[in-house]
Amino acid sequence: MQFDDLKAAWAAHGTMLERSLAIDERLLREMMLRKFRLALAPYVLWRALEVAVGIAVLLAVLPVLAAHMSEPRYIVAAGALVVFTAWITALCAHLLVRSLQFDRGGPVTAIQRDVERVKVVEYRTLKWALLGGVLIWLPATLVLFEALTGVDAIARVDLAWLVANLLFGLVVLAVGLVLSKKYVERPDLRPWARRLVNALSGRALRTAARHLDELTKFEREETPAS
Amino acid sequence: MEAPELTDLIRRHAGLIHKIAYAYGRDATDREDVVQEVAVQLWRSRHRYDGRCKETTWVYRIALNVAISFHRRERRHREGRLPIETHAITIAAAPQAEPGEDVQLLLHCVEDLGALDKALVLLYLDGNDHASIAEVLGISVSNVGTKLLRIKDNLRVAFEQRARSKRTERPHAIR
Repeated sequence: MQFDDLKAAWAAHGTMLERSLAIDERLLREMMLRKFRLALAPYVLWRALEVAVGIAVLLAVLPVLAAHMSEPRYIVAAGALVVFTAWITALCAHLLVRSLQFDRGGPVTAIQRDVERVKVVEYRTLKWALLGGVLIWLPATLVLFEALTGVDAIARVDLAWLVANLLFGLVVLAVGLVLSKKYVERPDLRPWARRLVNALSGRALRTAARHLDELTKFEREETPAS
Repeated sequence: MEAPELTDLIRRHAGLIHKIAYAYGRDATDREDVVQEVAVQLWRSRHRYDGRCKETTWVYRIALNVAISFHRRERRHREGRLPIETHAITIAAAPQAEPGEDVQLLLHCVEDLGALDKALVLLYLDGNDHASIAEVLGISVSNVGTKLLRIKDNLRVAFEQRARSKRTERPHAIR
């Protein structure tokens, strides 16, 4: 049988499928009014919340940093927090804008490339937020404590204790990376755990890179002989 | 576009949407989810449709983009899917909707293709010309022609192999 002969069978199949599709107009109308409009809302709201929190942290920490510009301890702790927060907030803002701009009515290759690129940024943001968070949570807490209460917390903390916490963070980070690679193939993970493990282990990034590679190959002009 | 217009749009293109859902979904639940997501995206993108391309092209693009993303999402961690009880569009489990032997074999062969090659084949099987396929996928017309030649050759071989192995399997099944 020639491949083109299957077109007729395929068309007949389509006609049969068409008949099996039942549309509940009342429910459809209801969904459009409520759920369809809210379908993207959790994602957009979550990203908007991340951006808002990031800006709030920056606004709280920058005056603390400005007030202690001559103290290396503050420059390291508050400076790291400012850089980290500004970076993650910028990435979240980028994701928020991209998610609002998405138009799935564009050409398939262009839209799929956009989807995969957004995924890459998303996985990187999640990965670096987790890794960075483990390292800077203590200095961040101390700086934020001062920002909120005015009490100079960093000056009261022993430097050795601060460094020990940083080292402990590094150990947690290393263990987390090892565990994420170990559990990446487990099928029984909950969705949020799967997301974390995929992002930390690098699996999600590898998958997105593979899809981008597929797209490039697909778009490449083929010669009849290739 | 209001609700009745969306319903009409879905009705007009029900065959197209359903065939894409059938080719990318792994089971009946998947297919309903894909159809549902296509409806959501059609509704969400309605203001962006400016008539620069044909309505069919626009629906194809949305349906394929949704189906490919759905297919690439891991089965075990599908987030954001609408709960099944909220489905406004259902697929009746009518026995006549089951594909014939040829179409079943074809779907098995198409299953082995990549998500984008599969889209190309589906568009071709639906009788679209090279220019329309190129417009939906965003590649050049000449690229469509060359790719189709290659894929059709591969599919013909795969189809014949599967058909042959099915014929040899049958006596054992009867026994």
